[in-house]
Amino acid sequence: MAVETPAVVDGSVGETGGETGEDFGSLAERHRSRVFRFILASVRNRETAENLTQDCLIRAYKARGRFRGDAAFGTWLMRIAANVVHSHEASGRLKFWRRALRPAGDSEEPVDWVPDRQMSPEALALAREQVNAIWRAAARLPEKQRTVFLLRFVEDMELLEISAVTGMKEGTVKTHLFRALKAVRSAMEDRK
Amino acid sequence: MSHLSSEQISNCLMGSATSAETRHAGECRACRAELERLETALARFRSSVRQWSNENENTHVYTDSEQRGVAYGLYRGNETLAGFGSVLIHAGVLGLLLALGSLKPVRMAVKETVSFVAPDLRPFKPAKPAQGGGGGGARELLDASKGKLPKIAPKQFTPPRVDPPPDPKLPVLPTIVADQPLPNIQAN
Repeated sequence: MAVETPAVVDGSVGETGGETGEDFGSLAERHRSRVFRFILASVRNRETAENLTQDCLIRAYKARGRFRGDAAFGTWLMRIAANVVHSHEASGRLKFWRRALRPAGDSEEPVDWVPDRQMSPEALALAREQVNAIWRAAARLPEKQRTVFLLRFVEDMELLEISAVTGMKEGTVKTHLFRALKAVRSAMEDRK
Repeated sequence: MSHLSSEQISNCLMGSATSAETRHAGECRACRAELERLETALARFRSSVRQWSNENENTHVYTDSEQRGVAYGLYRGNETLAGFGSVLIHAGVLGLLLALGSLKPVRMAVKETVSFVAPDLRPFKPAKPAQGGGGGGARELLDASKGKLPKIAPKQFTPPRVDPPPDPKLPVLPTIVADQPLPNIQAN
């Protein structure tokens, strides 16, 4: 499902840092990949990720008047994305059925990933196994820990930016990230 | 300083290490190797997620006909179970309605408020008019007209009728028994 981003925007969005003068459509288009990647890594299902990405962009468009420019537009959009993922995870409605009726292959993983074509088959297998261990460990993390883990190690965000996205204090972000790393490292050690 | 602890290595990975920890990580070969191992693994994880995301990001605009053919959400690849679930849910709702309808209080309530058959209107229908109310026994609705008075006789053989037999075997003049009219004295 392709996302059509609204092309009209009021002036407030154009006030953001280096994004001055851009309309909402082009801003959203520029940040869409990042939003989709974060949501996809969080929910691990392509169709759900596409729907939630669209939902996120629509919410951002509706709330564009409330964007004050305190943070970068991308950070603001990522905060909406984090909220969308949280709402999706927290919705008790149909949660049981979603789990019960979920087909075996519904939770997807990047199994066909090729890190480097120059790698030997053994090294490639090892690298894939390592990545899958991290992936599975991340999937088992509690929602807050997973969010900060993905924002730090997939989106390369600094702790302060993660704090702005999640609305948590920097110390809390650190704590969640620390616990997430501990769990992931433990999963990596178990793989050995 | 001895080797970095697990917590300190995590701090380095998180980007919140102290200057001493950072310096040690740069100088100590074992700690640097451990950090590099973890950083490489996390970098590979990042790379895999990004590659996966790029492959899955859909830029194709579906046409209406394509969208009609796509099953979304819970139904994707799960149509049989969804169909079975639908039948089960409908049967359940139907059974619930029947069970509720069979309860006595519900039946009573329905009986009080709803008529499923045409009500008996006989008590409210107007009574038919009585038969033969006038016309001298001719079953006429109107009273008999007042004509000439039949003849007065001391003994009556045939009473007057409004519907005399059309072809009597023995015609007898109908008479009435009444007092003879008084003679007109003044005429004399």
